[in-house]
Amino acid sequence: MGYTLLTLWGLTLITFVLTRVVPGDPARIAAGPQARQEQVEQVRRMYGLDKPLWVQYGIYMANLLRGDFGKSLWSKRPVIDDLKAYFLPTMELGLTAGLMFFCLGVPLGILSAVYRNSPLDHLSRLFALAGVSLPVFIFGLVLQLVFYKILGWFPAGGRIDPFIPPPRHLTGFYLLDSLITGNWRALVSSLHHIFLPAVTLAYGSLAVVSRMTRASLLEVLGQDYIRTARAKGLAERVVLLKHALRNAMVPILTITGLQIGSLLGGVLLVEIIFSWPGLGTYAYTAVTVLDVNAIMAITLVTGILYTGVNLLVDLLYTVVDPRIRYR
Amino acid sequence: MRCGRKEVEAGRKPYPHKNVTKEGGMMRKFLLYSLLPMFLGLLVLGQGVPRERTLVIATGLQPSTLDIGVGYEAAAINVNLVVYERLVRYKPGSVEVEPELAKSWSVSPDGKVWTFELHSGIVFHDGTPCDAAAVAFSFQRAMAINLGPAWMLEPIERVEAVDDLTVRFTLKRPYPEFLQVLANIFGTGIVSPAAVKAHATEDDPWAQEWLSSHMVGTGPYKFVEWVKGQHIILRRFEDYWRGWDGVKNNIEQVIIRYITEPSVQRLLLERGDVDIAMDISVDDWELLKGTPGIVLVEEPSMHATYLRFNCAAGPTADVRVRKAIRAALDYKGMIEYVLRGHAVQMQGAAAIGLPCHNNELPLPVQDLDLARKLLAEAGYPHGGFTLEYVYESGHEDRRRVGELLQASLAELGIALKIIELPWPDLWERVSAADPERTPAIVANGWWPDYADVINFLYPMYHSSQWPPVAFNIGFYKNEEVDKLLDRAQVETDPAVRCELLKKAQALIYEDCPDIDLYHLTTRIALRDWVKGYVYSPIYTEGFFLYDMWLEK
Repeated sequence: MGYTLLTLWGLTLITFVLTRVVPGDPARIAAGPQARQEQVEQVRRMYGLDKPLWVQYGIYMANLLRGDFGKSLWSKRPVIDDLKAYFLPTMELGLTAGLMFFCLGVPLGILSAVYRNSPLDHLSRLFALAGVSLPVFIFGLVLQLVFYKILGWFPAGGRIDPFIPPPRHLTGFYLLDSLITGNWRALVSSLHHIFLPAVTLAYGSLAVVSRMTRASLLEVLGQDYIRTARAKGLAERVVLLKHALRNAMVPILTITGLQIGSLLGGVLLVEIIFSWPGLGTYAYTAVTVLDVNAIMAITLVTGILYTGVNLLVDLLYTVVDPRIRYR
Repeated sequence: MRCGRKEVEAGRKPYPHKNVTKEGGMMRKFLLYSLLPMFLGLLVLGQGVPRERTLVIATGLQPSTLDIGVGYEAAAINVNLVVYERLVRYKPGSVEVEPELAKSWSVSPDGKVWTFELHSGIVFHDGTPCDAAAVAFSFQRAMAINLGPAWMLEPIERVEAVDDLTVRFTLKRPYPEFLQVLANIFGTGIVSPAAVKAHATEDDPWAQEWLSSHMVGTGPYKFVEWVKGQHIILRRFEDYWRGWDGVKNNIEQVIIRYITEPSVQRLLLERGDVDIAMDISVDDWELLKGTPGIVLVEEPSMHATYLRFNCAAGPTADVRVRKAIRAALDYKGMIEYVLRGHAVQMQGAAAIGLPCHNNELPLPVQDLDLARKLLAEAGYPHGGFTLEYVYESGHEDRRRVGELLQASLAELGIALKIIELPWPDLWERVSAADPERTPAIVANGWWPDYADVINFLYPMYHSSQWPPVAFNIGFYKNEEVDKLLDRAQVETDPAVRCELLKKAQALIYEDCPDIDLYHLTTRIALRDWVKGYVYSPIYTEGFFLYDMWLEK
């Protein structure tokens, strides 16, 4: 925990320094291309960019501890408002894809381990190979072409049909909010919209997780205690799910954590292809206009998410393998 | 598991009025198996909301702020044009100014006092009246915020309401292009003072935070919601002061969808899920030609692309070298191959089609013999030097123009080093006051804010605008040009002023501080059921929705 906090503090320091040393004058860009010098200075004062760097960092950290990310130089709104608007959709898409690849990848891996070297196993291997080697943007465009243009089954982009009012804001996740408020039209439309981008995002990771499950499970299945379990006359299902899978779970969890990290990278591309209103485009604009406060906030939140997932995976180890204990 | 749950349910008897029996279980199974396909069916058929009276526009550009006093980016043009109104506006399809909120105006002989008469009965979307005081308030607000578009309002000394329907501007100096400035889309829209006051706070007296994501104007459409990254919804304003009787408009709702990927815009347009697509790629444009049901509109814009020379340091400080490079570029190849016909070659430094544009200037053509001759005169008969060519990332056209120029210059013995820089870095390089740091050639673009050539000439060619002040990034200076522009800034006789500006354009062409390249075209694809669309060369991304209708 302490280590995680230290990592995050280091992250704030590095991004702070980086955003300040890159070429370009944020105040000048924020004031507008034709602004006079006095207007630029006004903006500089307004955002405290005229103070010495260490004072700026002090103010930034003090505000951050109160949950204040400052104001965006570009939109002039508090960064937290924009972050809420763009971060939650990214989370929703990422989590849906994560759930999808884990819940499908593990069973698929189990099946190919059990029916090793059968046509099913070969098919799953082919499926995985395609998943790993297909770039997400090509896969996404192909899905759009087939399921939107030709078949017309799924929408080509967006988070919800623009003719349907979004559900009341509770968690910011459309799927959850519409489920909680019983807004079925919104739920159906959100599911409908999230399906293709989530599949696009999940496919590569699904392949990796299913192969990992297969390999890890095969290794465990060759162990002596599995033979003992079978010799005891336990049902094969119990042997597989209770004795083998649980022991095979540690590497699977590790790879899942890593895959969620790589999802964060892939999600930005998928967002652009499917016009998903997430952090990707927001981050891109923030960087191009040197919106220092927004860049810092995006980096920090992504960092928190990444370290959070890793922490969660570490904690899950202890659940699946009681021999692992943290002090 | 299933068994256990049944027992619990039976024990609790959650539905005492219903007999939970074996039949009930079968019923549940039946429901499950019949509902599941229905649910999946819904997933597939979830679309199909009636939309005959809705106009859906797809664009990749989302504004960063909706505040009319702050925003200064093309992405806000479409909403600004229909939610807010100005005193005067550009006539659809032209650069001529016509009345909007003001029905008439007059100017004092010295050009310093402008008086506008408003139409009566104008109301804001919040129901409050739009009178002279509201107009004065809007300008005071933009001037006090002093960001983005406020530079255009700098000559205003004060603005006041004389009576309910008369508003008077007193200027610091004559401002011949004042009407043009008032018609421009940024900073001059009239916002409801009541809305501003209702959302002002001590730290934020002009309600900038609230207005950055809300709009309250007088236009034919009112702002409903902005779901960031997804869409902005506008709805017809029933109390619009021009009224809705006798107009063909039947558009009750407008949805502006932010679709980041151009190829997806094309798919949506083809299936009729959007009515207008703003960002069709050049490849898709060719493929869409001849598609039934789709209308393609392509018009030259006022956007200008230049290669700006460093006139103060290095080999390009010599006008003969600059002219040699101008003679080396293959203009025909540039328009045909680099831009695939989606551009028009520029004539001089100001946009073709503007009043006072000098249309007697020659169009440069490739002439390598002339280039060699000029280089020899300048003391470089065999070239033998290297120049830096800098362009902004993302502008593929400018990179390819650089490559075209590189090939031509190689024949003259000049090496061209092409450098791509992100905008903040590029800006850092060209805004330094030291010419030694400025690259020899910078590819850059210019959007006019209003339809007057001085909006091109003054910021880019007057010597008071050298870096770090503004856009004369090549340190160009010609005292004669300075004088002509200074006079044009205060000359109130339009004919005399036009002469001054035309002369300045001729002198600038002769000094060759840059190569005037091309005006890109604006491409807009519409479904054929969208009627009444007229392209505006100034509000390029805008739609005069009041004059439009749908025939679905």
